[in-house]
Amino acid sequence: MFRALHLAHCTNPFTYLSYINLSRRSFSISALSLADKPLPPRLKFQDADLTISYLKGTGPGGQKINKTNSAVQIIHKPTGIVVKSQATRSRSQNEKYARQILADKVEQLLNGDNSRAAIKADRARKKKASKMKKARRKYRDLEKGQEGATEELDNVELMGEMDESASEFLEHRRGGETDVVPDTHGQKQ
Amino acid sequence: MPRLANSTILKAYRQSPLLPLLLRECRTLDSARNELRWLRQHAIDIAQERRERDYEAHVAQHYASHSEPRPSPDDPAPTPSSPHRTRRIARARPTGWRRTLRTLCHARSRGTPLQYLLGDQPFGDLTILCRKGVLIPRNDTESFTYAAAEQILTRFPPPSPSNAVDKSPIATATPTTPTPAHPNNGPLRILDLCTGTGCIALLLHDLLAPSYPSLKILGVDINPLAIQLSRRNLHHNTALGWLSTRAPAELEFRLGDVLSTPSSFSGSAHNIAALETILPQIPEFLDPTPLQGDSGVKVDIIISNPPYISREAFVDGTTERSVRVFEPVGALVPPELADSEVVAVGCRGEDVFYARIAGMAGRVGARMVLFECGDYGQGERVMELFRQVEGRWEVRIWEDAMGTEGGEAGRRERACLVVAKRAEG
Repeated sequence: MFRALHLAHCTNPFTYLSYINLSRRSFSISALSLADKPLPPRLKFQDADLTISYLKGTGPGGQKINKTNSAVQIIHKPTGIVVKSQATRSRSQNEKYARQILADKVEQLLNGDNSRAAIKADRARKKKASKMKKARRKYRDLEKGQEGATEELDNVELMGEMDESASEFLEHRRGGETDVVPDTHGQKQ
Repeated sequence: MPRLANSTILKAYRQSPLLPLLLRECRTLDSARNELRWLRQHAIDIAQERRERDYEAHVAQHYASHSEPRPSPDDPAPTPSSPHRTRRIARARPTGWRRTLRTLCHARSRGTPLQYLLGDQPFGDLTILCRKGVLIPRNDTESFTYAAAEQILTRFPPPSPSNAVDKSPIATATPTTPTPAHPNNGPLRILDLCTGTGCIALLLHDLLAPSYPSLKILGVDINPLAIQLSRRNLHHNTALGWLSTRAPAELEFRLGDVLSTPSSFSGSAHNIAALETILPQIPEFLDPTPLQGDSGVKVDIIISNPPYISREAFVDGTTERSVRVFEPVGALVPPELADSEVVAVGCRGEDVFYARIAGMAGRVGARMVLFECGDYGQGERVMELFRQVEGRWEVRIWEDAMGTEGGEAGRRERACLVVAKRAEG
């Protein structure tokens, strides 16, 4: 049962990403408002427009060899875009991913900045920028005085398992040796 | 096998010290990197499982020594430690996974198939468990099973409500006029011979169950390990929800010898029942209206991926070293047959299974036979076999609609699917 859960969540890069995004959303108000706007729908393809190949080599096959490569390559004939996926060991999963990547690429070609992929990238960029800004503000306030520092520490302790590493970082930071902006979300993973 | 370039090995080592080990078997950096990723995930899973087991043992010991009543599992807070602490335990990566990964990589560098190390192989939408002693399902077999399901849907049109589902271009292009499959509304009866892990039978059920209201698929193998594993696979995939809930009732796996007949049974060395003695034991396979001199058994479709490598091809280098050393020979090379009762004289050693099954197909009333063959030469010999057996058969080699790269010579060396349909009337 444990393996099944892992399959459902971790080997699928798309669900994995969205899972992280979900857990992040609760911390930031701006991200919530961004996510509320629905993305444009994913492009659907006619099967006749696609050439799907399983990239088998030449020479003997079948029982004589045991290849672990299950890469899938899809060519979109009208645009000539080629995508390849070998993310998982399963051919049908790889085909699904390749289709999703292809849909994003073709849509980007058609719609440019209004495409699904472009909007997603834009949101990610904005979110990151706002996160950096907040972090910068937080540590600037911290340096200003002891008052601010205790307040921040309380906040950090509310976040549960982050307490040790965050306070360590703060102590380190008060020593004034480094300029690195902490990526708190990154540490949490 | 061409020698690996030093530059490749160095480049691999810089990425990860374990990659050169995997390169020995994978030969390309790309596939080595993929395998390292999968092995790494597997090592972490193993370590995690080990930790959960240890934790369980630890908790059990704790309650045993303190003589407190152990809280029931659905109790919200079973442990006295703080919530912060337990959460951190669950999040951290388990210890010991690096050592496990190194062991796995060393095993792989000696040629152990990846599927035996990881314990499974994806097959269509299913996950087929693998273990040493049973042949690993191949990619080619996966493609052929999809093709077979398509052929079956054309040849045996499912009853009307789901008929509209089948709109594949191949379906409309086939020249044979489809005849109603079940005048008596019985299940569609499929026999999978030399089933191994049961992969073909299971995937066929997955692909056909939405279209047919009732199916009966029997998988037969001579290896007790294979039968045990195929039953495990059936329950594994049903429990995970990949297979429909009908599967346990409609799929069956039996130990049986495809090559021996009941009369030759007494002389055979092992104690495994012949195919003919097994078939009447399945109620669905009994013919409701047996004719005089008939076998009394009725099967609609026979599908098989039997051992098909010749003795010569097994040792002359066309068979991969890892396959030769680590996979069961019995699943790759057909046994030498002493008696000529089962198979006609003059049949080549690697073709005995095809000859035996083709000879039997007419007697059990099969209307379609599907074979995986080692190469196109063997496929043509199998087509010739069908000309010699009773009944009129329309035989051809299935062509991949996607086309093939590598030219005619490379294509002829590859495995192929032979589809034989019995002409009606």
